[in-house]
Amino acid sequence: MNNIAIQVNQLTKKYRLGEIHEDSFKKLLGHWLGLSPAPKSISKDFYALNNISFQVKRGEVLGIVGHNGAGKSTLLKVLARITDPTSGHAHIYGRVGTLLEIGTGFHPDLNGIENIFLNGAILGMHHYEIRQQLDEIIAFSGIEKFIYTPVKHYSSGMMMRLAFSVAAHLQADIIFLDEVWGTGDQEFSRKSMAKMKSIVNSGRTVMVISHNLDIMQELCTRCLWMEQGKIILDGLPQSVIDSYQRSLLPESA
Amino acid sequence: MLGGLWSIIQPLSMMLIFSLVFSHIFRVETGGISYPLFSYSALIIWQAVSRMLMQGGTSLTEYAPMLSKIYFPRVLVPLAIIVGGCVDFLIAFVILLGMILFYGGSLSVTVLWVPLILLICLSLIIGLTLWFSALDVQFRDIRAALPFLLQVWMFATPIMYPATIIPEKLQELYYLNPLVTHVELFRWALLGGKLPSVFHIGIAAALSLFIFLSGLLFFNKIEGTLVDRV
Repeated sequence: MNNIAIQVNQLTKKYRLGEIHEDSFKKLLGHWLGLSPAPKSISKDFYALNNISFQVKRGEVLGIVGHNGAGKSTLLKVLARITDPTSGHAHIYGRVGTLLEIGTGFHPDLNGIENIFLNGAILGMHHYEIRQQLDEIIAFSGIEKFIYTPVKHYSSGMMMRLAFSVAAHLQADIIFLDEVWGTGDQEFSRKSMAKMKSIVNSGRTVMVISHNLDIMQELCTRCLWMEQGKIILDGLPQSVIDSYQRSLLPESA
Repeated sequence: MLGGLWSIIQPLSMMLIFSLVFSHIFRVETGGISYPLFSYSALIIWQAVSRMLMQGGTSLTEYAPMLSKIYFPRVLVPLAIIVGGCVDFLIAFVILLGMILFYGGSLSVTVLWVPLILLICLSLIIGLTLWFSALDVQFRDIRAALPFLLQVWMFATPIMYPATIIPEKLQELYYLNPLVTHVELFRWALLGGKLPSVFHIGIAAALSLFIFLSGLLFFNKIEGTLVDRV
């Protein structure tokens, strides 16, 4: 079983649309006391994930493509334990690093170094791990001069580079990436891509979502195409991405 | 800017105001204990309660951006606020001990009960904070009621007045507020004075533990899908 990094069994995530949930205690009390009629439940069930099952082997780089609302981000959120599934199970074997956003938890009043430790800790890095790689992280970000300045004085580009640099040094066995490509200038973009590739080639298991199909083609060893909560296609990046791209073209008359 | 000093300045200044109003103007009788000690001892408890509930009770929605991006046990968020409140309380408590010595008092062996008394009181606060923070995520109007509820609770607790001024008929109702017994026990242990009845102590302890356990259970139940509602 140690060849499998992620095992997903019949994973389902259901949301209820429409005004089912009371969002006001006052309203709830009103209904309980019979002062106002309970709203008719015009609920529609929305299946963000619809009975999905698949396996990811150790070292695979699994890309997920699909239209907006297909369920890609929801899948990653459920796997990252950010929200519970409605039914089904997922088993993850190994230490997880979740990157759904760059710079989570950055505090404006702390300086660069303090935020490196803060952000690193939030991402799940141990304190000694951060300390060991501190010089590398600072060097990679390219903002050595400003590392002791409070982050609120950074430009958005500087913040992104620092955050990306911390994230790039995550030591997890399994990494989830959701549209986290740094924008930065060309040089930093190239550095990030190279770093991403080295992470991906280091034997780590990666699940990555992006709309940038070129990046997906380059990095992934396997691809899933998801639509409306289901997996439509599962195979080599070349063919899956090709099929997906063709579906994006407008239907010819 | 004042940071840690605030945990001392606030109850001290309240105590001064209360001393002026209740001790000198209204001449409230505090059973042999000097008024500043009487009110300050309760004020530091109240300050911890109100801060933990106000900040802790709204903490989950405040940290929503972080909750939706990374996994960690959600209970850590209100718990962090509570730990912070405890640290402030300890600082204020040391000041209280200093004040007791300053007023020429001494501590009797009853002081050994203080950790247990505070522990049960803390369990009440933790339970309430867990309840509120969990409900706050779903019902956003609760947080508007919170300051008002705290205000009422403050007046319903013998902080600036002794419980003895409550009329006989209302005493039993009054003692349903567990904080009444906790505060009186705290005062008894540190300053001497009347020990609340075993019956009242039992009610306060039972209510506190019930709120604590139910809060934990409820929070645990909604923890997994918190992010969907926040």
